[in-house]
Amino acid sequence: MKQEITFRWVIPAIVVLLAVIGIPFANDYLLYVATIIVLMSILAVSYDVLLGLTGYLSLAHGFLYGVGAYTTAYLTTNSGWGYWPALVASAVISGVMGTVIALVAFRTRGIYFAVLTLGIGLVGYQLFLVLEPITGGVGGFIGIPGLPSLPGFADAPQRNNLVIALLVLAVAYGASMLFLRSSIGAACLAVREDVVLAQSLGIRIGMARLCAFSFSAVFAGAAGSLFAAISNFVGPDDFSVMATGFQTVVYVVVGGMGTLWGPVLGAVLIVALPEILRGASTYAVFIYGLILLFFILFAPKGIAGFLLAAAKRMSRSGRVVISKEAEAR
Amino acid sequence: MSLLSINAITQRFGGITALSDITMSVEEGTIHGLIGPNGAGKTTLINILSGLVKPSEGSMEFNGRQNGPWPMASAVQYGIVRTFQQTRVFMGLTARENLRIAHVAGAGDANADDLIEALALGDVLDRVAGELPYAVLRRLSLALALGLRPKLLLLDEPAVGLAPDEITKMAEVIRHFHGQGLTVLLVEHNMRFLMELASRVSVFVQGRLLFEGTPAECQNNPTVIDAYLGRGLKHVEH
Repeated sequence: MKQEITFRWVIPAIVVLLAVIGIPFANDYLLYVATIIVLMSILAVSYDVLLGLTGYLSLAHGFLYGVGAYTTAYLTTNSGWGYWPALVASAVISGVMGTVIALVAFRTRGIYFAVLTLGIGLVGYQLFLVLEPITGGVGGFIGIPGLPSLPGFADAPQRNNLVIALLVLAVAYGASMLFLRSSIGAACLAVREDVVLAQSLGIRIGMARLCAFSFSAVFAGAAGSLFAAISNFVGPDDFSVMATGFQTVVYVVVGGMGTLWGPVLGAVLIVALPEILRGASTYAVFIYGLILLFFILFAPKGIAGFLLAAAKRMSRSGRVVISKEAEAR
Repeated sequence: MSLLSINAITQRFGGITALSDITMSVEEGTIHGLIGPNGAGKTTLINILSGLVKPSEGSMEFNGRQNGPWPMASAVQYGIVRTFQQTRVFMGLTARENLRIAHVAGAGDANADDLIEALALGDVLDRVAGELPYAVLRRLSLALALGLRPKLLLLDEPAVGLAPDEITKMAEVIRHFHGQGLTVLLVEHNMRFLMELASRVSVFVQGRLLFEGTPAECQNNPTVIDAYLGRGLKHVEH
């Protein structure tokens, strides 16, 4: 428990440290990959609030990510909005859409919930294809304005993108921590652990689950908004169930559910891996598959569980050494 | 004065009648025992009163509020809280997180300190519940319920599976909180434990209320002795 609380602060501190050291020296390619990692981390952290805290597996989050992206694309390109109001609007609209989906989806539970949200993800993908006046249809939305420049970053758009993405990640992470510590967060944990006991303690489980879903939808929308502005183009394939929906689940499961910091590490591994394996592209998918198998079979609590167990062992062995030294004295 | 009035509650599961036309009341500030053989409907009544199960027929009044039973969340809000026959805590969380969920371990909450001390949970707060001994889990499950500051606590076999010294401790805990004004409806098979605590006892047999009276009256009633207690039970002084 103490180790987990430590990791909750250590991991963000490492991310900030790496950013401070790396951003001034990294080339554009590394900066772009790092920016995508941070985007996926925002998605993963917010999704962990739903999957990790309540245990409900949603496959509709790729769609919600897309809603955020298309909202920003439309507002900044066709309606002349500035980026920051568009970011807020994207988060709000995704949140509202998430709430509507949750109201429907939470009529079911377990595998039925997963299948129902899969259906919503598939329908959403089709909507992105057919609502051509708004989404650009198959061709997607092109010419989306980039992110506004922060002071001192006007000449370095890639660095600017990464810094803004990191700031949004910090907000998402901080908000998720607050959510976890709130009474709603406690209620979500209770729902995940034992629904009947949670009910017997007076917890309104429907409200707890709805809040978790809506919260994760808001930040999925924010991540989508950043993606639209950073890539200057959005197309339906970026938001399909297979592309983003399942991928988000993988970040959280491989990283370690319910920890908030674990999914950040999951996103780092899963996004960086194809880039690292570019030299062995023939085997890239094979190795990716093997890594997933490894985590499911041998480290079901993900990278976070692995690190926590290692920290616990080190802490125990440290105590043994100290007590032996004390005995020797 | 009645805190709880149960009016003609009947519960059917398919063709089986688990409770039949139960009418009884629980006085405020008392410990009311509920006994009977397995299958008598005791836990079914607890399930109904706590809102877990909706009765087929009948109603209840609680603390001046009519038209019960209510859904679980509302029942808790009105002051009716239960424990479970099988130990039920959040096994994957620490004892502290368990208590936090029950809105107990808020900073500076005097009730939380009192609970932790009364239930001797201070040394295990940072341990995961799943690793705790059975007796501690029973106390933790009681702490979850008490943390909600109920007016009426429905205790479903709190002494089951406990060693004699732990049963004594459990009785002390119940007395401690009863002394602070808590009303208790206590379901229990351990007659010594129940008879020492309760001031009034209801006896259920096959879903019907067979008898209601003081512990002494209950232990001397031939119908109750024949139907449930048997001749072997030594008289327990109340």
